[in-house]
Amino acid sequence: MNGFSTGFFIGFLTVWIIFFIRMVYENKKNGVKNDDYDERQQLVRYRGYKNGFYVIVLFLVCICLIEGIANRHFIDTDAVTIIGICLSVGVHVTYCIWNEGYFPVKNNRKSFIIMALATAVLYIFFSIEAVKEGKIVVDGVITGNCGNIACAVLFTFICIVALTKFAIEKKEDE
Amino acid sequence: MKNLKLKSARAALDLSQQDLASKVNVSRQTINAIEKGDYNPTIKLCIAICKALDKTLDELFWE
Repeated sequence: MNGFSTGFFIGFLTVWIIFFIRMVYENKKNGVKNDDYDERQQLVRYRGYKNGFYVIVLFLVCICLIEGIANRHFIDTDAVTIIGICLSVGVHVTYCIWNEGYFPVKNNRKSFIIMALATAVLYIFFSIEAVKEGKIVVDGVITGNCGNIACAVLFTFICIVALTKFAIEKKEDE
Repeated sequence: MKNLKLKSARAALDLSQQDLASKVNVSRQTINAIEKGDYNPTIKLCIAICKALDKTLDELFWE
């Protein structure tokens, strides 16, 4: 197992352990499930998933068409996967936040914003490293190293959307 | 179409959208969407709202 695989595995495992502990703790603390969505939110999330799915399909088709027409390989498979996932997730999350279906009924939105902001800052930091080393585009081909930039853009965008939505809701409440 | 009957029934009991939402276990935005006529609730939620506001289905949801 090389360094990247080990890092990926440890990161993946850590996230799941933290997620599991948090889930058990939160549910115990309040005596009710905190990840429940009401019927309207479930409908919104279903539409969000559908939109996200169509976006990734459209993205893959576009890449295939552009590469076919240009007869040139300009993006790695890793990069296609990462950018596709980020696009799809971005569309899903944006749609759900904008239609008030992203946060469960009993959820602390502030903690989400703080976590998303922290993640965005972390990814921006790693993106700077990758840009400095010139690993993003090699011989005119976008490599899988663009993952950090894609995630940085995704999380920054999600933060902006969430903050804008909260500001609109606050204004409506007043 | 706006559901003004629901809004006035809620206001008559001096409940905020959040109060009603907590009573029927939905988000405040869902109550807001029902009142604005942006969302058609299921019969299950309609009944829960009627019980919370002590009204009948006819009084709140019939045209």
